[in-house]
Amino acid sequence: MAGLIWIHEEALRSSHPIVSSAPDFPAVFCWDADYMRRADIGQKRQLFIYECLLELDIEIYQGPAKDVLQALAEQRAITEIIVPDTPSPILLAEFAAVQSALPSMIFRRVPDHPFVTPTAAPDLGRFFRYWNKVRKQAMRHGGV
Amino acid sequence: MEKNLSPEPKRLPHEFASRDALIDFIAQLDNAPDEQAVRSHPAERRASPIIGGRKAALAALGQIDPVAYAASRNHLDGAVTRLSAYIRHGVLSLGEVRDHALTVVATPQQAEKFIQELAWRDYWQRLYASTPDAIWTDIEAYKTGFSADDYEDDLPVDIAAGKTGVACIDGFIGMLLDTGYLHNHARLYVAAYVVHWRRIKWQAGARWFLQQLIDADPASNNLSWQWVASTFSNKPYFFNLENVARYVGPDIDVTPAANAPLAHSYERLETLLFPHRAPDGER
Repeated sequence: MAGLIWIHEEALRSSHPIVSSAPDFPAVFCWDADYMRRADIGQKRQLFIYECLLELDIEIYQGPAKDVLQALAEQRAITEIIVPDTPSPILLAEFAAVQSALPSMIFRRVPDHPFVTPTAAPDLGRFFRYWNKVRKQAMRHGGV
Repeated sequence: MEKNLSPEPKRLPHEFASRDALIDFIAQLDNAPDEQAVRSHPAERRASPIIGGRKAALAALGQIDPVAYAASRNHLDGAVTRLSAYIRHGVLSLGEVRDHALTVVATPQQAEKFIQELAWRDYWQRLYASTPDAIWTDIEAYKTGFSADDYEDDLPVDIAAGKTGVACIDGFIGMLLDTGYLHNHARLYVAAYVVHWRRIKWQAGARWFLQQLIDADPASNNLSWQWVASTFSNKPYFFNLENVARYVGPDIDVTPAANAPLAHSYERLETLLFPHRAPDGER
């Protein structure tokens, strides 16, 4: 089965769990100036992102993710695309656009390694309510 | 039914002769008209001194000192780590930064302040995932004695250019435009100046920071602006010149004559900035 890892600007390292979850899939990045503008990513940050990409084993393509991934899917008979998960509504809208352009594609979101794994959803009303719940785990139970 | 195949997407290169060549290449890909306005700041460089990539990230991680961080992080020349851009872009995971911090201290407690700051990032991300709309809307009402309608929508040009006439604020904005980075304490000063001295909506300042900072994350950035504004805290954050002088180094002009709007006691500033706010006792 042919697949792609679609990397975006929130997961620029090869030790992200998405890579080990599909070691045979090539990774691609879609460089989309319009998206960068919508996401308020200025030129200094664009440089930083590109410098990160230069160290990765990744194909960089110019254009909106929807168009790039559709073209690659056709050329390579891709049946599955996996992407690092995100809370960002702007990125989630990009995911939705890709899924809409490729309705029969298997599409999977892979979360990063969690910082802490609380047993119950912590109260996020204020930081210290959250911190008091996760502190032991965050400290790896050292000295607490 | 046969469909026409999509056109071959253009592949972008991995090899550049120099950083300058990459900068030119990105500018040509970007052709962003709205960046031109900010370019009027004479000191603005085109690149951040913070280099992207895992190698630079690991080098920065190798330099962290959680004990010195806890003692001096509020000072502009303190032992801050500058890992934020790497963490924000997933070049380093929060967990690996935490695990490394625990290996370089004698006792875990020595790393607690540093790990707590990592937890702030995790907290903001969880909040973002649970309520994505909170990023751009007031979570709560302003507690400044003003309503949201009393604040201007747009960031004035003098602020964007670092020409407000308040010397330390212009110094901080110059650092931001120059490097794409600003010490957290300076971010709070600039945000408070924008929202409370100039009475601009926090959203205008937050968007400007997002565009300028190479580490800006919509959740951490916007919710911190809301914390300063008091739409995500119990009272507005503000400061005075005496406080700035305590935390900044010699590069920032903190003379009262050059910073008149900030050169007051907290009591006087409370009256000047929030004349309609009900007193809540201590700040």
